[in-house]
Amino acid sequence: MLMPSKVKHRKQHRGRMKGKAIRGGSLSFGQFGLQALEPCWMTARQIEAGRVAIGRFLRKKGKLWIRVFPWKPVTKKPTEVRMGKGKGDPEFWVDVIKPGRMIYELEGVEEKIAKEAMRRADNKLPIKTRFVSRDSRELK
Amino acid sequence: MEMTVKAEVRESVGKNAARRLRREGKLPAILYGSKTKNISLVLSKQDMFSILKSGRGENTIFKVAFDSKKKNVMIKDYQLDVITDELLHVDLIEIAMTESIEVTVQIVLTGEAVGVKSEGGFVDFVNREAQVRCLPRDIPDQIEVDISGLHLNQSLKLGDIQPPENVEFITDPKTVIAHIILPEEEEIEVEEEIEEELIAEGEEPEVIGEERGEAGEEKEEKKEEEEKKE
Repeated sequence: MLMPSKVKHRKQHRGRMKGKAIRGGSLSFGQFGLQALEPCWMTARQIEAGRVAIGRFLRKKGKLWIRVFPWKPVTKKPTEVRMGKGKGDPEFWVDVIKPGRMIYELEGVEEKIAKEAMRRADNKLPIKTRFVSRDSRELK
Repeated sequence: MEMTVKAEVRESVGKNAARRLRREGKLPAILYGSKTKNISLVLSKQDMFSILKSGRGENTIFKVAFDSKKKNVMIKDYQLDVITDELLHVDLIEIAMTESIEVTVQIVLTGEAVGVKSEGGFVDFVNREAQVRCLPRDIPDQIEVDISGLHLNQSLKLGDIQPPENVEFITDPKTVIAHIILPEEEEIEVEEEIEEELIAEGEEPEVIGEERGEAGEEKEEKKEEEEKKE
């Protein structure tokens, strides 16, 4: 699973998930992509599950980019422990996803196959997403 | 024939005024250039759509008419809403028709590579654009590149492409445009994956600047002892 190799601080504040994605919202590498439509904390486990779902469907086809990375540690107190005595220990890693963020990108496959692969990845994610391609963008 | 877009000068600036304009179906814009001061404008969305959807897209040169003036401009930048794809704002730059400019032109691949047809590879389109320098009238719509001769593990670099007439590439000629590669194999050994996950869950990343080793542990022990005394 994805996690940082070095961190400056072991624990972080929770923060807020206001607004839309300022960066990482456009297709940068591939022809097709999966874009987030809701905010969430996406765990390393969910990102990996989506990757595995795409990989199993595509087998030996195409190239996949993962555009998100779980930088943020989430802490948890052990069960049956009284409140206080400091913050809990890091339990898992997440990335703060805001609406518009591109999660995966694909290249080297047909649109129909890319759509199905992204649908399978979407099933593993905790938010609503949409399939985007370089040709499909319509200005409004 | 060059297109002329009607515009109005706007005096109200800021997000509130811009949102009011957008609600009315208009588009806030700004015009600037090396010899002109910044002028805030209001444009019609439809005009901008027709320009952005045209063959040359952002690199289309058109005239903008306001206050009995007409200026040759092109789109320098535009902002879209990441979710709704709504056009939010346009930056226009004034162009001198006699001076060469630097623009980004799309690269389009044509033909089916040998490496794809018979060797089982696929095209990895690494760079889809190239920076070019030319006179405004010489800006190409797109640069078409034939990749039908590419075999597996071969790449096409910008230096291999012949630029159109009166156009000069600024991007590094060593830049890879496309290469034919074999897909990476996906490891589907479930047991191994689970083991890896278990290891990963127990691990913690290295903290930058924190003392490690015996000295660090001794300090921690001292701290704990002090806490117990308290």
